[in-house]
Amino acid sequence: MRWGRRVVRFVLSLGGVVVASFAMLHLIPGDPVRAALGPTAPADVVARRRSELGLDRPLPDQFTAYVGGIFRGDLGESFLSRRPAAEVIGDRLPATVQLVAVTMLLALAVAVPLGMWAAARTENGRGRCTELAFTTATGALSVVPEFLLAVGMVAVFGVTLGWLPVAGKDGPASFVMPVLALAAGPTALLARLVRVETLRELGADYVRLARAKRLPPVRVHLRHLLPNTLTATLTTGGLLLASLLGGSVVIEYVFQWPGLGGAAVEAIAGKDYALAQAAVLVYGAISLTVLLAVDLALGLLDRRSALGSRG
Amino acid sequence: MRLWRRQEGGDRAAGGGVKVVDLRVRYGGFTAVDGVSFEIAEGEVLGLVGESGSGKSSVGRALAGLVPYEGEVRGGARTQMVFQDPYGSLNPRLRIGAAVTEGLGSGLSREERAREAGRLLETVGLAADLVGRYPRELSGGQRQRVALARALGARPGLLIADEITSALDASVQGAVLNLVRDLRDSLGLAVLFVSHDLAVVRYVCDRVAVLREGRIVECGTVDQVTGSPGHEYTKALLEAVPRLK
Amino acid sequence: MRRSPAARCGAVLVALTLVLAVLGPWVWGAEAARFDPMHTLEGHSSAHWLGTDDGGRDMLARTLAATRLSVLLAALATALGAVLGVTLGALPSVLGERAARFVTAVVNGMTAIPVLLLAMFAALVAGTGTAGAVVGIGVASAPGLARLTRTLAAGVESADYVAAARMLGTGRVRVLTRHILPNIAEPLILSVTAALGYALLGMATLSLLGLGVQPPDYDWGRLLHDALPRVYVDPEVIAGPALAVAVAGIGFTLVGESLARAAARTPVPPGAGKGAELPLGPASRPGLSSASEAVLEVRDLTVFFGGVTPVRGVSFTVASGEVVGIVGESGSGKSLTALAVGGLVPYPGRVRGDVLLEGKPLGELSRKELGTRLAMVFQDPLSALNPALRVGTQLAETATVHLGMTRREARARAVARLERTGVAAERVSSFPHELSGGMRQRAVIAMGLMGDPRLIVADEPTTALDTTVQRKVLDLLGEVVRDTGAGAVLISHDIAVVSSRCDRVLVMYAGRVVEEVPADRLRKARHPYTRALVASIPDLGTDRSLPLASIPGAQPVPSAVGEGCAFADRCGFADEVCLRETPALVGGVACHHPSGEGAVGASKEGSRDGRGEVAAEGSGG
Repeated sequence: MRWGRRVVRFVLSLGGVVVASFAMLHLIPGDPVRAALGPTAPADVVARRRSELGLDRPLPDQFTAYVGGIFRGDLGESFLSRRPAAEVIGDRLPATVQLVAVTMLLALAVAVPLGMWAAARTENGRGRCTELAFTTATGALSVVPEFLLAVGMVAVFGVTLGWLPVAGKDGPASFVMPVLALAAGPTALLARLVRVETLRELGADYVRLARAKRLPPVRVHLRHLLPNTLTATLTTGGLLLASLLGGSVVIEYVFQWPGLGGAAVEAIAGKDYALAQAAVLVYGAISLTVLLAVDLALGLLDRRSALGSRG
Repeated sequence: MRLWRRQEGGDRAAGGGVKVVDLRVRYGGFTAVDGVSFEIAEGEVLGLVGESGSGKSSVGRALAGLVPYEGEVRGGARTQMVFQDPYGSLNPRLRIGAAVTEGLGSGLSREERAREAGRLLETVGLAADLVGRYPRELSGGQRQRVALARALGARPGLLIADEITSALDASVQGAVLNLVRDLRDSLGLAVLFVSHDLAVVRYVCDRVAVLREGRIVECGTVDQVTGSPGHEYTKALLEAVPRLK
Repeated sequence: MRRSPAARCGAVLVALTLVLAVLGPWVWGAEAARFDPMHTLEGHSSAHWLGTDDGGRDMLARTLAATRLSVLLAALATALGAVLGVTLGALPSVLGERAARFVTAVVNGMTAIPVLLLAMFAALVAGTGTAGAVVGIGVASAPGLARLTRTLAAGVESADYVAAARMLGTGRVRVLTRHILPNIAEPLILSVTAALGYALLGMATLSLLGLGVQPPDYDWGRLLHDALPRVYVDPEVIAGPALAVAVAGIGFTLVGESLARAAARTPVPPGAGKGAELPLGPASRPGLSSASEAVLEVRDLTVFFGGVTPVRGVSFTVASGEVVGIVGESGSGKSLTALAVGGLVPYPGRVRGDVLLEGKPLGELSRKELGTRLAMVFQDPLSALNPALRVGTQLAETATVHLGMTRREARARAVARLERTGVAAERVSSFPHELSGGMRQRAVIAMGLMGDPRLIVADEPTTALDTTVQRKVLDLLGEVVRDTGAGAVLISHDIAVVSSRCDRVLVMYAGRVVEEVPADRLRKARHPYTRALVASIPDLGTDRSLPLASIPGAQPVPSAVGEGCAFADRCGFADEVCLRETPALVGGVACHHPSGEGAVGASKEGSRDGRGEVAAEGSGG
């Protein structure tokens, strides 16, 4: 029943994204076709383009056609290149997914051990220096925007030192800078969260009891604490994954990464509204799906919430 | 959490005492209170005793209008409630004077309010000059008195005391229990005293209702119920009360 | 409030930014706008430290002059976001049930969309350019603030004082303005400060992507946008705007977030971490050998937390098969005594004195010995069991870790111990939440029996349980002690529980044992505090026609305990000696004026005077 409700919410949200992306084109002040083709385009060309795109039909018809198109995999046609938007997105999406997936794995792999280690070192206010170093470093990293890191890394490692390729996607080396720039913030945030959660759980009675049983500290941390901090970590991880999609737009722009983000920026800057519309739809659908997947996975993981008694 | 108004207000004429007929409280598919009826006269303390999950707090919350219910409630105008946790029941940003006069309505002048605040505090055995203090400056026992004073400010027809001493230290508990008895005597208050502790209930209350799984299994005067219990469950409860050797 | 280094560092950055925002265009505005066709697109030089742009304008001057516009736009966007967000978040508090739920759902839905995408979307709709970007960033920051407002408001709304206000007839709007908003204002304002930082970064991002400020206007993002293609040739040209964005954005976020965290944090207990460090380690007293019969011998146990001493010189013994009770109010030091006996006093607490388990100091016992010979039971059995692990797993690990058993053997032992404590064997594969409260506490006791316990320390083992369940669990503890011959320490705030289950009772007050008395002689106790405690608790035989005794005032917090009898200012017998000299525990009572047996009227008359009560609830205890 819990899952059922969650799926219903997902479908409703998805509907919201569809409506929003449809409305986008019509919320733009003035005529999007005129805006795209520029003020010098002849009136008859604009009118022909409008009717080609179906923009002269009544709104309900347009919406039906839009939704129907989505179900057929037809996301409209780029105003500029006149390629089907679905094709453009199909070309560009894999690079984005690779970038985001590698980044997320790196963030989890670094943040969880780091946060647990920091918690163990700073329990009950001991290890003041470790705490200061940890909170300062993660605090700074979590607020530095990814594009600054990216630009900085390009300047240092790409241009000055020449160690790494500065742009494009070509082999493992080309992943290093984009992934690091994108991963820094989420890693810092997650590490902080893992530390706070672990510290909270360290105060719980079951930890006291585990210690009273004189279990080795490693066992207390891995066997007793980790499963209990995982829920919060994965929840936040899921939210971060969705926000990584946003961050990837900038990273792709800076590194000229052949992903969807670059295409979206070009479309918006170039007033290619049809392509922008399709990109918004796809991004929205992906983040909603990620959040759904995380929720469902958590339902499986967390026995208590699966029971529905303390959802 | 949303708060609900009474669904069936019934007769809300002024005056003390309350009559409850066939009260039911449901949370989703779960029935917490399943057809409870009782009566509290003016100047009477009815003890509602039961274990966790018996529905005793739900009865109190329903009568206070904090949860929706079905059934008939007659009387009990301006029902007020005092809660278990002395730390959560006062707004940390409001001075004691403002907290105590919250129920007085807006028709009073500043001086009248100040006078009334002092009077209410003195009614519950606190010094009138506490009006300018903040809750954090008060001890648990003092806070419970302030909560009582705030409730009295509304001139309640029924006062619900929900486990008001269980969060207090033993040495302070006695004073609060004495106060409840004094208020009943001096103000003729009708009180629903909700507690898990039979010994406390026996000391404070005139009559006792024993609640189990949402139903009253036994109801009578304190001497009847604690002296010669009629129901097996009441006997079990009495036997379980720890005794000083 | 303790200012963290992060907050301090942020404050410096913010101040710098604000000064530049005011002065920037006046001081460097002209220089920043000065065309110089002879020196376009240059790198670092002594005339232009950070190079020039395509118009030959100085990048450093342009960066500094751009501060005002960058900050202004961010502030506008934040203001928009704050108004939208706080309104959306506070709305459910004044709306009806259904509308409130709808608004909350919309806000939650919006937070699922990545902020930058939302900003780009809004910017696109509002038109590419400065206004569009401001609207975009503002709209994008609204959902987060709305959700925060909602969460904070919901927390306050569930407080008893809001319920009380509604019972008193206070309207929804007034509840919002009088109770909810004042209690959430502080974290909210700080979060808006942090949001300003994010808005700065967001505006810079949009401008960098070419979707924000358009020429001839320029903000830091625009400067970055123009300089980015040149990074491969003259990396220094991006240094100015990049550094500026970093300084300002990080400054605001650090200030807002670190202060918001500090505001949300509960205050540090008084005295923790200050005061003189006291000498550590066992205060070994030569000539004192342990009594051979005792399972537990505690000598002069003192626990320090910084300069505070919540446990002061506690000594007692527990013999094999004996149950010793410790009773006291919150803050008396009884729980900390239990933790010290278990060797579990948390950092930064320091323990002095001797704790001997079967004649051996705790520190000399191995992990295995401690893990098998000492069993502990805590107050809340639900939190004492790990929610993520099956009951059997948690029991079995003592056997696998300390006794070297295989998993199969350990599991068989776990089943046997569960059955012995009255838990059905199939519960071995249940999770703790699937058990009732009483069953959980039985499982915890069974866990203690996995080894060969010589001492069981039970700290308020039944406080979280119903009375009928409490009785059964206490019965079980008694049986276990009888069967195993272990000694037990039973700690409770409830003098009746302790009296009914123990052989001897220690009464603790303000960190000291004030009386040690056989359980059946509690009614004839000699210390005024014990007598008052007994008199203040009604039982089924209390005379209902008399008021209950109560003790005026409150127990002093550990940091306020000094020389003299700690109970003196609440005691009817106190005189100058009591105020001056700390009474020693002699003949089972630590009092300068102990009652003889049969004396009456030990404490001040049950006073209704609340004035004497001081805000003094200590933590712990």
